[in-house]
Parts: sequence; C-alpha cells; structure tokens
Amino acid sequence: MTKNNIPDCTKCKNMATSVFATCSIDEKQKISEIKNFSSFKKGESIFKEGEDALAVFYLNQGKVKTLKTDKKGKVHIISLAKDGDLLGLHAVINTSKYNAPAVAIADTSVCIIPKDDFLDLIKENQNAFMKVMKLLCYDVDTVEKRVMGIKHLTVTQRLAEGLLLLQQTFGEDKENCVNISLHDIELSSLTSANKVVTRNLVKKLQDQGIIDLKKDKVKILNTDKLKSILRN
Amino acid sequence: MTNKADIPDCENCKTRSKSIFCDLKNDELAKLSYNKGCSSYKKGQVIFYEGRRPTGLYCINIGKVKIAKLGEEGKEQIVRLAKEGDILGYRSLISGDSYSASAETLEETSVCFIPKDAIFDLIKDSSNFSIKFMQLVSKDLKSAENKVTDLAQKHVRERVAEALLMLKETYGMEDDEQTIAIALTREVLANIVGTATETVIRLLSELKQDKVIALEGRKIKILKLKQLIRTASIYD
Repeated sequence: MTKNNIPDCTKCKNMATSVFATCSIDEKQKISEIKNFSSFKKGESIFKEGEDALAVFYLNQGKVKTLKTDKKGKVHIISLAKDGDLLGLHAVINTSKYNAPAVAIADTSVCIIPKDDFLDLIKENQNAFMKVMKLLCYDVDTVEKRVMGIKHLTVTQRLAEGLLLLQQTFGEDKENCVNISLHDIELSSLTSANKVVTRNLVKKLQDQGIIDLKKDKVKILNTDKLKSILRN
Repeated sequence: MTNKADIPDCENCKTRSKSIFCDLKNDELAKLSYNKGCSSYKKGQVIFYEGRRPTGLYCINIGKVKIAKLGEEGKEQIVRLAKEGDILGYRSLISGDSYSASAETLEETSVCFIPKDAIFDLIKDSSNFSIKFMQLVSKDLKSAENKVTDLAQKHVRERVAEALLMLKETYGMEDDEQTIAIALTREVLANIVGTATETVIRLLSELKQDKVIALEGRKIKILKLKQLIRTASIYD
C-alpha cells in the first residue's frame, strides 16, 4: 500500500455514475480536501473482516472482490466492484465492523473518505442520501440473488450466472475475453461449489462451444446460450 | 377481493416500537395516519405482484406474509417471511425498479399502505427516519452476505432445522410454548429451504423419529430446542 498524489474529485471521470454525482462543486472540493488516497497491488487487502469501519472506500481505478470464508474454509465471492463503486458502505452506516473483506484483484487505487465526513455529507445532501440508498438496495438485491441461487439453482446455472456477472462487471478485452484473470477469480468461489465439480462443468461448457478458455481468461462465445442455461 | 378496513391509528400501533417508524414525532405519525390506507386480505391473496411497479410502501398491521419469486417450471422460491410491523417492497420503492418478488398472505392479514410521496417526504423531513431506513437496508445487506456462506456449507437436513428455527424466531410460539405459531404446507416449507417436497417430508419424519419435533397436521412442535439448534448448526 503506497500513498500517491490525491486526485481531484471535481475531475473524477466516474463522478457522473457515483453517489457523489449530485454534489455541488463546494462539496466535491471538500471531499477532495478531507479524503485519503491509497494504491493497492493485486492480491492486497483493502480492508479485513472484523476491522472497525472507519471509512468508505471509493474505487478510483481497479478491480476488487469482497469475499467471505465459510467454516469449512471455502471462499465465496460476495460481490465484485469496479471503477466508481463504493466499498464498506453498510458497515459505516451501521457503525459496525466490515463484514466481508475486500481484496484487490488488479492494481487498484481507492479514495478513502472518513466515516463521519461521509455520514455528514449524506445527512446534508438529500440527493446523495437517495443515491446511497439506491446503491444499498441494489447491493442487497445482488447478494440476495446469490443466496437464492445457492438455494434454488443447480451448479451449472450458478456457473452460467457467475460468468455473466463477470462479463457484465468487468467487460471484455481486445480479444473478447472477459477482462479478468481466472487466477484472481476462482470460479468455484462464484458457484459456491466444489472446485473439481466446477472445473468439470467449465469443461462441459467448453465442449459445447458456449465458452472458451484462453490461458487464464474465459471467452464467452454464446451469451444467449449461457442465459438460456440460467433460465432452464 | 380486498376489503377496506378501518384505518388503524399509527400512534397507537402496537408494533410501532419495532418498526422503522419508531422514532417519528407525534405530528409526523398523525400525518402518516392521515396519508395511508389499509386493506384486509384473506389467506392466499396477493398484496403485490413480481414485475409490477411500486407506488408506495406496505406495512403489516396484523398477519403473516410470504415474499416469493416464481422460479423455473412455476416452482416457487420463497425469499423471506414477514410478520407484524415489517415493511414490504421498500427496496423497489427506493430503486424505482419493479418488484423482484410477489407478496402473498399466509393467513388473514391487514396491511397499511403508505403512498410513495408520503415516504419520500418523511425521508426529506426527518433525518431520524432516513437514517433508520438506511440502517434497515444495511442490515439486510449484512444478513444476505452472511447467508451466502451459511447456506453453501449446509446440508438439506441442517437447512430444514434452520428453517424451523427461523419460523420460531419470526412468528414465535403458541400458548403451549412448543408449537410454532404458523402452519405451513410441506410444499411451502420446501420452497423456503430450496428442496423437493418429498425431501422435507422425509427429513421432518426423521426429526420426529428422533423426538426432536412432533407433527400435528401442519403444526410443528419443537420438543428439544437445543438439539434442533445443534442439528441446524453442525459447522457453527
């Protein structure tokens, strides 16, 4: 973790889609002044489970996964975050500890906004408050979908859902591969199934010509087919 | 058909202290009472449908409600159960999306309906309320996150035991302090757990044979609570 020059919030390229979109220039300048800025290398933890939530983390650039480990030691990915996303939100709002640790899966830089300043901002700015509420609701929906998937979907369906989520979150690179290394996202942590089972199902999808594996990346050849697996 | 019931007064609501409206001032409560409506539903009626757009917030005055999605081949997936004082449909109201699940009554139920504008006015005018509301959503997020790991590591037997404990937590016990105060069909239980109805029937009779529970039609008695907790949480 290294400290860099702190970027100016008024010039942030993801401002339009962030919760701070409707903040005034003054408010943005104020955030710029109070915030901290840190860079994390791939694999480094941004925050750990059980740490007191002292700040929210605005993902300036990079890719992050939040995860939880079950009692048997298996890792489950809870959510994936990209540029412009906010991490640690619910722990800050409930003045509790971070629940699911966040780990960088690409070189990542984050703006760190102290808890009290963040809470003051959303108390004073109605629009920012509503944006945060919407974001929270969206997050609950996403995680609840994961829960319902584990209860009611087959592993193949969960794999299809996981692959589509990766594609939707991280987009595709020049070779049309999903823009994330499978070394950094273990697919079994998205399916919440056994590693061997997941690997066999990946092979099956590959044999059916629905996906292809290129080195450590996955290429989705037939998105419609993948979606229809999810529906069936 | 739903019937318009007498509109209960928010100030005298017995579940208010447990709801998100607990911190409202008297004049805010009076305004809420004035703005809302209230409807009675028979068992098995739908309060709102998956896919429709929300026009307000529902708050259960009396009764029990299941929130469920329609899965593949028409199979029902129960997201959660709600009790008196719980609010329904708030995430769609905030996000402006259509409902991601339907709400259907499990018994005779009366539900207050607070129009969208009244809720948004409250958010604007009462910082106590807006913070309370935000904390509710945050708690939902945390419990959903915990459920991911909790579920993935559990076998169906543990999940059935857990579902019984959840029913007890949500709806409490009848006067005998053993019978869970809700009667559900085996099929509904299966849709809560996420398994086949036959599996639930088999696992319930296993628990019965072990004298952990007793079954009387749809009613379930918990005879050995400690053992049921142990069954639900082998890995906890």
